[in-house]
Amino acid sequence: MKQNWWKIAGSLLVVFSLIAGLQIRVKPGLLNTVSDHASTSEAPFKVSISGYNTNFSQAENQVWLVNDTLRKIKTCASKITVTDDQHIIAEFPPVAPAADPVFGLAVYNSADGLLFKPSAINTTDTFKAVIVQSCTPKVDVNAGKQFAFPFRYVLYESIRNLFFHVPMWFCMIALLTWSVFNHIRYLRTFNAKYDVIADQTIRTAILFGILGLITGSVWARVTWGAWWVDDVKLNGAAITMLAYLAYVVLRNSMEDKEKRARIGAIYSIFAYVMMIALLGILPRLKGTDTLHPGNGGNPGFNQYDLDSTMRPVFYSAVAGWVIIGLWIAQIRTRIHNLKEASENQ
Amino acid sequence: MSLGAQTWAMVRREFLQEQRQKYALFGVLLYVVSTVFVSKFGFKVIKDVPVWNALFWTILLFTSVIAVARSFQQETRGRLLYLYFLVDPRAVILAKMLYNVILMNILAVAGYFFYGILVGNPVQDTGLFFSTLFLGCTGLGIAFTMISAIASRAGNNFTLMSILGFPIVIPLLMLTIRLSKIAVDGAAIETPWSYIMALVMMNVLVTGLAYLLFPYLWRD
Repeated sequence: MKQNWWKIAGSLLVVFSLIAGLQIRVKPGLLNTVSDHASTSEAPFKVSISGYNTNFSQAENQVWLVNDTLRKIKTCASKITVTDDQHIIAEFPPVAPAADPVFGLAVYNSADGLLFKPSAINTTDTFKAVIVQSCTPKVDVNAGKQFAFPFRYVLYESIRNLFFHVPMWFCMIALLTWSVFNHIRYLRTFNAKYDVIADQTIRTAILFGILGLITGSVWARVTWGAWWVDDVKLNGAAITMLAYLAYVVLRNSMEDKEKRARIGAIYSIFAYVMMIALLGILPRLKGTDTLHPGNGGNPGFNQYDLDSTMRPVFYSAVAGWVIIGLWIAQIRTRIHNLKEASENQ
Repeated sequence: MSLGAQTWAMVRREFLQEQRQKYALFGVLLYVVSTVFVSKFGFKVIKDVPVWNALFWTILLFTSVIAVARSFQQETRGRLLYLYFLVDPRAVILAKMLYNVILMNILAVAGYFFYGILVGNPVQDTGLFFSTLFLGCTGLGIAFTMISAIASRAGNNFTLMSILGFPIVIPLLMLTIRLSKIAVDGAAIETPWSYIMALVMMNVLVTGLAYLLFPYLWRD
């Protein structure tokens, strides 16, 4: 038991990340607002709002519009009808302060805190209207604070995929690094033990790479609208998979054990260095845009989004999956050695 | 003999061998010309720069597979064994690389010549284009020499050579195609040094790897 503590730790981390990653709620937010494109001069100007994970009927609501350019001008709703926890119909007096016809919509209550949807309403007849009263809603900044994942447009609930998609790649890179380390050890000593470890680790890494591609593909369909998009990181991942599948073909094309171990090790080292160049250098060059966070522009996600509630879950998922990956590789190595031993008997 | 002298001797041997079987070099040249002809019949004249660029580099990619694959295939087992006793393995790989780089550059210039005549030549910045051609072909030559050495050990399979080689050269090719597009457009306000440096680094990296790993591949 003593030497197996890391397996227990890894399993616990993965179980924690699975439970926390799927159970913790997403913070409340404003999902959509109907009457997107309206003539605001017709009073009362009605907007029906649907919220997500909200508690509209639990506390008193305040609803107001904020002009996108003239941020200080706030126009409060004259009448608010709460249908249920997720739906509100708000009526506004005629609004439209000159230049900018686009308004953001804010809803505040003490249960949910301040919810805001930028550019929620686009008005048409700005020239006719007059600026009606500006109001100052009372907002308690600390209201509605809860331990929950952030609510992001475009991502919504799929934000949880961060705990499943990204750790797959971390795990794959970690396993490939471990296999290259063992392949180098093999070339230095020509001890078949290291080659078996390295080979089985690569096969496990391919499994994790495929899982990373599948989770990423599903996520891309939900957020970016296509199963596959043209992106440096996606292409890099696909090419890495091709290189390692080629490794498997190369290895299986030879019969002699010593020879295939040696040539496999050489190709694996070669492919690994090129993969590092591909994933590490190319996306950082000028003029390469990626939809992924970190570099390039991405409307849905950026580095600040990994906020304090997600961080512990994310890190434990990464650590846990890397350990599980190494464990799988170790078991595969053992199975391989046992098969070999029974064949030799 | 020092490594340099051995490499030089091996390069001379490569050229001598080429001279004795001229049909092989002409075969590859003919391959380039026929491929360009096929594209000519398919496309007539290509006005679209990205298409022109992509097709040109695809032709060069396949040419390099065919041209470089020979370098280890043509060596018989006996001859390799003989070399094994004579020279340092690193001299063998360096010489093969040098020879293939020269060969690839000749083929690329010839390919560009025919491609320009038959399919059209939209290149604006000729200086930058030739630098790209040189760097890209050098990279292809070096990378495929190493891949050819690996593939020849695993039974000289042409399919194997392609599937092993393509993932390895794609990063290089991505850089080259992008740089080449800048050269064709001719719109670069300043020389795109970051791409050129990245290409040079990539070439140095592959050479270094081959230099370190080939001695392990060589022994039998």
